[in-house]
Amino acid sequence: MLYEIELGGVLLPPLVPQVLLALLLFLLVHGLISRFDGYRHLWHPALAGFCVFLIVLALVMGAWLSLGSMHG
Amino acid sequence: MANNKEGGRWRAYLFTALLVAAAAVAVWYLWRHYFEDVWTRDARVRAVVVSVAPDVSGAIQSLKVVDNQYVEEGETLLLVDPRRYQLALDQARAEVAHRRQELNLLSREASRRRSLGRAISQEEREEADNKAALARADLQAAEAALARAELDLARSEVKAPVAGFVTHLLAHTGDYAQTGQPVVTLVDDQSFWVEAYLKETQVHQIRVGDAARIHLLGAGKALTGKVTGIGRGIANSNAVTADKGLPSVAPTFEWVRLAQRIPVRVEFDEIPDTLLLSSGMTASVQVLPE
Repeated sequence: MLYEIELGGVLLPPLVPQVLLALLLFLLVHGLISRFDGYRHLWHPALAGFCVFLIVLALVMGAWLSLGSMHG
Repeated sequence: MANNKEGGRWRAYLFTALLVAAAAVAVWYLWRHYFEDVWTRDARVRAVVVSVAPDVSGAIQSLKVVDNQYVEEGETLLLVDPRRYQLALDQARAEVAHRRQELNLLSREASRRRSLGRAISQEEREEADNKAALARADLQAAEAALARAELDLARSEVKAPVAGFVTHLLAHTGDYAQTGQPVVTLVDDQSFWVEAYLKETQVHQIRVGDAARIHLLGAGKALTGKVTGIGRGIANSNAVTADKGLPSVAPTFEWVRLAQRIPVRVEFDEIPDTLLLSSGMTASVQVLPE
């Protein structure tokens, strides 16, 4: 389930750590795509990058939810 | 060469379109879980809090509990100085003895007069009977006063009405305790529940009996619970009564407004022994509508 998280005494919505983690993963994926010159096969590199970020964010959310349901 | 380049461009469009479609699915998924799941970060742990006040006034002779102590139901919390109530009880006993004796006297007189037959007047006989009846009523009143004095003395020992934790104890031996003024606050440890403030747009989806998950801040594992009630009223600032009993309606109206929140009562299925609950704690709650 989604729940409020605490970071150094500040309460944050769950989207904050999810976005941060997604950003990190996105940078990784982005680096890999750039390395193998993948954006050459895509029309609009910035649009493609943004789409990759959204997909990564959804995957992070999915991982969060399934981990949460394992904990019960 | 040109054909090849043209083909590469169409392939690039196709890949990008696929990526955009996948991203749209991703956004739909995020939206569904973030905005359509019935969950809230705005939930608080609550408990029944009993304000224990002495039924009789007096200085606190001894305080039997310390702050944050667990007490069982019926355990003595404090003793109000009982001397005055002991004296009142003695006085009430004496009064009962007095009235009983008086009744004895008068009823004997009445029976004597009845047996005298025509030697005395009807009026004198009736008077004696009436006096005896009055004495009987006086005795009953004195007995009631005695029972009351006994109750007062018993109530000088203040007992815990529920099992729970003594909280925010400020009273001390020697403080003067007034009748009806709370001295000890007890948090009933069997009564914890969670009040989830769900948006008014979400409450339509839930029903009493729906399963719920409760995540206490910092407690790790989520707990399971059940919706046991949905609040049927919140305050309306436009309904505040002003002059002559008329409502004071605000003339301003916000352009952007926030959904109001309705309290929903969620009870724990089971509280682990190791879990420390404190009324007022923050929780996140997700309701799983059937």
